Amino acid sequence: MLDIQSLSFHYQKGKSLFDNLNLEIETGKIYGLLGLNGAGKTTLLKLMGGTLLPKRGTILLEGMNVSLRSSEVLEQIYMIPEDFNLPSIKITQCVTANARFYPHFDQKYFKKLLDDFELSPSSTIQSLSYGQKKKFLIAFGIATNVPLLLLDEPTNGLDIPSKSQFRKAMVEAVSNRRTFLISTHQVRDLSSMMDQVVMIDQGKIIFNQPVSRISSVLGFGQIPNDTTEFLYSEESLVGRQGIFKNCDGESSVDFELLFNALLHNSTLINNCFKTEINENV
Amino acid sequence: MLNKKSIVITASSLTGVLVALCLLNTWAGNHVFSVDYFVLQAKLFFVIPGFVFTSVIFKEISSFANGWSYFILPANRIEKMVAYWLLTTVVYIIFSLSILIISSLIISGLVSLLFEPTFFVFNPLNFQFQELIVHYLVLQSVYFLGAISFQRNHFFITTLFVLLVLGFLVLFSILGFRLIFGDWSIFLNADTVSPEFFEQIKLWIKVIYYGLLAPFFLLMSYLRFKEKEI
Repeated sequence: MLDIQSLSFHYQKGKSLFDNLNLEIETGKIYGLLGLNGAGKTTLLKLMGGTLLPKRGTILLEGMNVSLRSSEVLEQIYMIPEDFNLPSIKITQCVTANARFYPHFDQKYFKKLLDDFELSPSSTIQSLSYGQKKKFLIAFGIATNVPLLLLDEPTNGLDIPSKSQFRKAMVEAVSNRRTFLISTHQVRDLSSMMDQVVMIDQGKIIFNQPVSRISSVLGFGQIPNDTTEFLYSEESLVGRQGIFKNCDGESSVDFELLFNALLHNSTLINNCFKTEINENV
Repeated sequence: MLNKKSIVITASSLTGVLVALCLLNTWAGNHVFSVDYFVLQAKLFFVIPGFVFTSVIFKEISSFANGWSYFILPANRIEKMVAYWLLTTVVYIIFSLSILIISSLIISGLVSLLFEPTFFVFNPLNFQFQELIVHYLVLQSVYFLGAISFQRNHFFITTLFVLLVLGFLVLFSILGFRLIFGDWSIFLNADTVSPEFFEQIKLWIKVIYYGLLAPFFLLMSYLRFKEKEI
């Protein structure tokens, strides 16, 4: 669906953020885009959304160049940023003005999502809190029915019931023609809904695997002190937690542990996936 | 910037200043309302706010938080730019001329009330104003480019830039004449050059000013807009 080929980007000359980055986003999945602060997650989303332009390389959405910002491409993308200012008008006015640009916008679905998020269509946007504004944007983004929805830290500012509403809405909305790409630090908030994990570090994709494969290849849990057969371990409040090669079927993925392990030694973790392929062959 | 409240406040303030200036002038001028004074002020109140408005038209899209929704809106780049151009030309001209007509009626009423009976309605379709609108459309394109090109203080930087370019053009023209004619006599004695030559020069300047300047700056604006990132 989205194909990033040999992407290079920098804000300042000589300080390259992405150099020859390649990534393929498949349709029908919820992607979690992880990385440290300053790793380039938001920049990558902006490049995918066409608000930034690559210095080299291309970003193709269904074969169309995103950087050209044609209406045909922009009809297929909606982006929910972390920081935003919205106009001082009513929700209904904002929707009337913007929804007409999205050919598959679903008014009924939008109203249902507003109900779920406990927002009134007659509210003035400026009178809403940050979290409520974000819920309005999430509802609008989902209701556009665009094939690619980009979300930057969507759960920041959401209260606990709204987070679960958000997860429910996302899982209901994803289909085999829609893809959601979520950049986040709040992995615990979103771990249950992610289909694939992409991790960026120092401008490179250091990990890109489906959650189903992660859970079948890696095991997560407590590690006895006398054991040395693990890929990564760290002390936690409940003892020593670690990642090891999984031999007992599917396990539940601890994304925070995986994140730390990848930062520590991504080659070691990635090798497990290569080994698994070789073993299967 | 473009919300109803700020438009109403700005328009009311400018109308208030214009009314006050005309009343003061009437008071100072033996209590006789001067139409010429109103027209002179109306020209300034039409052109300068227009350039300022044009200069800040892209301010909203200069930061990501303000401009993201505009950038991701499914419309072509040319459509987005034309929308801003229409807003700062056609919509602005109609709106500001309407304000000037209303101002003239308010001034008439107040002058009649305070000084002597007067009835004056500003006619924006007179030749003087039509010519001014054409000049506005030409020069506005420069401020339009400035609005896209500069990060802040768009109006002042563009005005400075225009003055510098004009200074350069004057210098370039003087030096050009000096090179073509070999001496400075053309400036001292215009009779040495045929009137046809001057006519020809005037024609070229008119063609460049009325026909090429605005399209050139709008094209440059589009090229800058194409590369705009937030």
